[in-house]
Amino acid sequence: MNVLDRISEGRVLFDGAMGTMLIARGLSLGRPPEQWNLDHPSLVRDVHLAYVQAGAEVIGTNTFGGSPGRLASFRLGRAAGKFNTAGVLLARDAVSVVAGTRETVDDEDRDAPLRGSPVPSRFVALSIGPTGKMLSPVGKTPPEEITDEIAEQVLGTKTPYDMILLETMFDLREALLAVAAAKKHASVPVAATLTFMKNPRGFFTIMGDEPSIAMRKLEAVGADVVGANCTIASAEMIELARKLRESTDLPLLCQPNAGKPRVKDGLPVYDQTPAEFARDALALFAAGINAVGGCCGTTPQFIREVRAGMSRH
Amino acid sequence: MPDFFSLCSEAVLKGDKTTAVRLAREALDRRLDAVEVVERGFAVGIREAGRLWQAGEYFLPELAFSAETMTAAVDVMRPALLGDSSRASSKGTVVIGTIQGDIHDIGKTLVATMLAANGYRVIDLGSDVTYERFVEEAKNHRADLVCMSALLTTTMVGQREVIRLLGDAGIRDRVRVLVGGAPTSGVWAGEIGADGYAENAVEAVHVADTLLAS
Repeated sequence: MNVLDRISEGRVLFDGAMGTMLIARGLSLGRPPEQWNLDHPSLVRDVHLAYVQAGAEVIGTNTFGGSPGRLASFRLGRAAGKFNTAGVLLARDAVSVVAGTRETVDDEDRDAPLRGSPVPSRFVALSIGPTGKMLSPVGKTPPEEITDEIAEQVLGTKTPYDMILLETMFDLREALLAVAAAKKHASVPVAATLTFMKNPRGFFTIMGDEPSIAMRKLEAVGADVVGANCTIASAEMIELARKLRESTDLPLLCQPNAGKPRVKDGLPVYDQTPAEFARDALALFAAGINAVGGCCGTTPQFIREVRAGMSRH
Repeated sequence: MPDFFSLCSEAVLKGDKTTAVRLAREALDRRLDAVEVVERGFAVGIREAGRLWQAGEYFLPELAFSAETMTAAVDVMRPALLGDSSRASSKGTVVIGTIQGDIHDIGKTLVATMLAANGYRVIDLGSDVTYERFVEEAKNHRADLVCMSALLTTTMVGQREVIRLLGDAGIRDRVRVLVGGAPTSGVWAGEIGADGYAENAVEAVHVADTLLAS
């Protein structure tokens, strides 16, 4: 089954955070996580594997900051293609390691459920975050530069993946350019999630984009899946989800944070428990959200807890 | 002349740089009291923009345009303001930047612009600033305030490192340290020994005023 058909069916579980997991494994503070796709591939693969084993159905690649422009700030811009290609390979590896537990090899059985697995098949999503460049007139970046950044990241990724996930977009204009560029250069479904904050008047991106309008505009430029991620925790995400559901008929994806971080022993920790997160994740499904995953601070434990909740309800 | 002042305030509030600069020049030509024009005119606009931001009416673009307009107007008025230095001296020197490994510039630049618009001398070091450079620049500019932004959980820990290095350099007691950025919080500021935390650019100005007044 195609990933878009699967998401349209509903109750799809995405994975959780990558960056905070790599920090816990020793990623130097201030270094780009994408570098580990080449320097410590087994550690990145292990994180993916942990999410697969926890029951995630869609695995996001460790390529969030993989645009040439972002990597250039670490003097790694020219290697962007290598980091992204390796990133997809690692996620695919993790997915197939688990798939290898399946006994059947017959092609006709390809869509048969994995033995002992809660899901029929797993998918890899190429994660693409904001380019880090600010569009004019607030910043100095012309629209073409955003388009080029996304095109280069997509075209530089030489390994096949099932979908593109444009995430944590804080400027609708950038998200629209990114969706158009991704649709132009790739044949897979494209999901786009914006990050909203809550102010006294409701939910908005930091640029002032209102959620319902944003979803409709994303739909108009060809996004296959739309939604929200990061910044807000799961409880607020439920409130936002109801608004999103009213605004579009497209499949929706929500990936909330595990609360707001505080610091313990020099490292950021998140206070929300996996059980609380799982309860809210189920409420998101109930609100009509097709796919749910975790953003900053979530771990395989969170995803496992959601999967357990899904099998009960 | 209330009308002239409200025109100044309105230009800043609307982020209309052309009008604000024209009004500032007019104020100079008419030899109006520069401090009064800023205080009762332009500054009223920037405070109102800050209020609208907190109320959720203004967003990053509007606030950025208002702050830039304010800065442009104050730049034009500067010679006259300096001529009256007893009343219009800078509120203090600020060294500001986003911590190394972090290329996020938006929030930090907005804080820098708002501080400048509110009468601080601001040295903006940009983004991806090394720990050592924060300390060097704070020393060189005799900074009263060091502001550090971090947008990533991977870089926020660098804020603690800079505070430690300020101590090693023997200037920790001479500067106040203000931290900000999405993953940071007041609790975090307390844990790393910073003097203050601000959630946004408007709050940063209030916190800076409070820190430097005490």
